[in-house]
Amino acid sequence: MNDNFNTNRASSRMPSDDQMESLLRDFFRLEVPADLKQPLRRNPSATAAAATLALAPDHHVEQLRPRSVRFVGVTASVAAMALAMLVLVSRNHEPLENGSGFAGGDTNPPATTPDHDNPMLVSPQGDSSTSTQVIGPDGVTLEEIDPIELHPQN
Amino acid sequence: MTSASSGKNSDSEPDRDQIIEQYYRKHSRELWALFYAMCSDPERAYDAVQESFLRYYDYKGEPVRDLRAWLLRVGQNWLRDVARKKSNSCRLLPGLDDFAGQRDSAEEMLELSERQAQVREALSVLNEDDRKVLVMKYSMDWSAAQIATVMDCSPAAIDMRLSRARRRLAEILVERGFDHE
Repeated sequence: MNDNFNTNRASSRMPSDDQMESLLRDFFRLEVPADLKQPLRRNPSATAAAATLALAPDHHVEQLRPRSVRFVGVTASVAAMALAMLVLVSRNHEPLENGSGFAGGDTNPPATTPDHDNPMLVSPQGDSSTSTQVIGPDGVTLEEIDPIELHPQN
Repeated sequence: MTSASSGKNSDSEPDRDQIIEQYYRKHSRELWALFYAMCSDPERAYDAVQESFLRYYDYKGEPVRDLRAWLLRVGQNWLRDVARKKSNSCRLLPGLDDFAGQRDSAEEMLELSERQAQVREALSVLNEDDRKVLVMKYSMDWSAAQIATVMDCSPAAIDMRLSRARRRLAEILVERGFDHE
């Protein structure tokens, strides 16, 4: 009884064939994209790329200078670097040539220390010619007379 | 069906473009209907149409004997790829923009949008052949004889299938509480 009631209710709610026709026509009228009526759109990525190029023409021109201009610029910077290197090298060599720390400055050389010109080289055998030389007012020499004895410390 | 060959030199490009444009104007809606029957998504079906034509633009292979079949296959494969990726994005209903100016209130628009969604969901429950005959009949306004050539069966069988598909769709709508009044 209850099932029959539900079935009757459902069938009464069931749309007729005409209603379904109308419903489906309305549905598809809205469902079909309007863009289908438009001509085929070409590759969207190509369009986007063209738009990007059109938007930044100045930037593009600035980056792509003529080759001759770029060549002159590179040559000038290489020449400047070479000149700077030359100046640095010549500055480093000047003190050895004239003994001065200042290139083209004071012509009087400062008092050179003997250590600088003649580095002290100590021989383990000693230098006989200099060890007997008197180095003090009381006749002290550098000659070693007594041997040095080494004893281990406890 | 219409056939078109792929141009290989630049001289034939304009002719080829014109052929494709003409073919698009003539057959894009049919392709859309067939793709829509596959995916139940108007926007995605439209994208499949675009995709298949754009791929044909770039195609440089063997001459295509049956362009319709070629486009259908490409679009179908594209739809499968998209379905695998499951890229469901929120999209506005197409056609509603055009309709918006004619409607008075936002409530009416919302109601219309909901009805569209309900019918679309009910359609997606149908099997593909039932959906295909309904789409061809109501979106293309094709006769049973025209649909029969595509579905490879008799017009009488199409009439029967149409009647059964409508009834089945009505049942689904009623089950889901659709108010047809």
